[in-house]
Amino acid sequence: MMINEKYSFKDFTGMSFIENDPDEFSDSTIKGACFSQESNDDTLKSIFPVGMQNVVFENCNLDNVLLPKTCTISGSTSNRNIRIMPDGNDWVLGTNKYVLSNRLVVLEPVNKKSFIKENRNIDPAQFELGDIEIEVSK
Amino acid sequence: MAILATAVWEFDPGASNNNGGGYDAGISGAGADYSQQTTAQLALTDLAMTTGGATLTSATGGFTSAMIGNCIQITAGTNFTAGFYFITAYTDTNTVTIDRDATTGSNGSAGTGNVGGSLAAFTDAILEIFTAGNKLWVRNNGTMTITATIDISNAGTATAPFVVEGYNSTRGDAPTLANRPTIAAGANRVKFGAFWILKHFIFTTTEGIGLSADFSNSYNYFYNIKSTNSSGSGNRDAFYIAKGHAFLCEGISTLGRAFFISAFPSSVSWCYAHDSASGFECDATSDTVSFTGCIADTCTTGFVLGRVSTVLNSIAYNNTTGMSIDPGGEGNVFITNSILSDNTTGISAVADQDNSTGFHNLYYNNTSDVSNFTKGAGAVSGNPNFTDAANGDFTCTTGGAGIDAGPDLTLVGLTGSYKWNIGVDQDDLSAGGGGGTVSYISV
Repeated sequence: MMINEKYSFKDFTGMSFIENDPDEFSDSTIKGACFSQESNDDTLKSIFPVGMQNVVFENCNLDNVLLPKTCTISGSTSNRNIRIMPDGNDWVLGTNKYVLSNRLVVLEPVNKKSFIKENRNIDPAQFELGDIEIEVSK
Repeated sequence: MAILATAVWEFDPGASNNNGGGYDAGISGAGADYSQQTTAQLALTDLAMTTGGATLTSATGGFTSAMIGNCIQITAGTNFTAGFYFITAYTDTNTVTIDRDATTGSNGSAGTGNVGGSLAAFTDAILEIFTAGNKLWVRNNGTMTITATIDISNAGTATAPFVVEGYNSTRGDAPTLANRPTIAAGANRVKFGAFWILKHFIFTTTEGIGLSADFSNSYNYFYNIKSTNSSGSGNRDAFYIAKGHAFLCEGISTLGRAFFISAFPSSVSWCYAHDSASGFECDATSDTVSFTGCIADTCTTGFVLGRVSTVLNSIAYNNTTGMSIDPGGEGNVFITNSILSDNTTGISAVADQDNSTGFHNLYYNNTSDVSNFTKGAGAVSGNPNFTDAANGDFTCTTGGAGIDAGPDLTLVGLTGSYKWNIGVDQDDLSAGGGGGTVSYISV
């Protein structure tokens, strides 16, 4: 698939392209771009235009980005649901693979290695489950 | 033998993290440097090795004598230990010697590996394998996107630090402004180890501590780096400096601290903090932190000063509080030869800070110049005549009140006319001076 020169190897942290022409993206491979978003709730953000399709994101940062259904990720691309928790840090949300549920739970700190090195609490049970168990909508 | 201190690594976002990425001119017979190209010079899928030795073979072949000194990254294979290995000798097109045994203890086969080619992006695993003294070059070929945590334990030494240097088109071209390579981290921590030196980058993040290095024993420095933390969450840092130094850096943290200094001794020199909640901030218990030639522009608080902090030849402009002092009742804060201009409050200290002192500072157009702080000897009032502060030009034009109004060095027995200016701009405008009332103290 054609490499998307316009959007590859660029920093789009916090930016939205919802108003852009979907043809700028569709049927292309975007390499090494950072589309990372911040979120203070459980939702992934829609930042790409309606109608965008068949985009391969290779080695991109798509954290907190809602990926359109026809798009795929490859390489080291990250597409995590991240929320800033009451401890002020970024935590990864996801479904618990040991429980048959489609509810989001807190899994681990984004920067787990740092937490371990600094002897900080990585137990997600420290957070009130009632605050974060939210139906998965995607 | 392993990776030597003389190894040099190349990163180019357009390349691949499966490439060799390294070249070591210190290896006897070193040939061409294939690390400075985006694609591998040779890619093989049939590597083999007898365990216990260092002879690497390939039935397909393609090795040349010019590959001596280049790194081959073995990424997979039966009984191979994935990693970076340097070619130290050439036998023929099918056989080379590498720096060490690459097997897991049994004969290796079906190995895949790339000779040469740049690496694409920093990862924690890659940065941990380098050897103290290694140099890392990063080419400005688009943004380097970080997709996972980087928190490196790998430490350099005082005599063999790691040096990570960005360049635009030619190694060593010391790019500035938009010509520097960009590293975009998102929510991922990017924290280097002790004795890491970083030069010539643009860095973006939303993570809590921004660009940082080892907290307890870092002795690192950042040079010519712009770091922006755009997080919508408060108290996040663009730079986090612990026992380190920042020179000629620009920091922005929308709701947090552009430069946060957590451990001492540290220094921040000729840096620019703007449009942040806090421009330059010391941990309250940090001793021996110095700010020289720094400018805090349009922040809630320009400088937040801890226990024994010194501010020299700096500027606080258009902040709610230009400088805030809370040394915890134990120390002294010295603010010297600096300009407090257009702030709501120029310098605000907690009560009874008798040991915190100002010398030769210029106050202009603040709603209130000081609160619980004595201006001290040599204080000047008058327009510094910034050329265009609103657009980041804090040079002073002729007639500025800070020109020639700094300390009189003849008072320490020197002779001559030094014409030290208050503020950052030290241009010798001979017609300057005379703005405001100047008095000098005896030292």
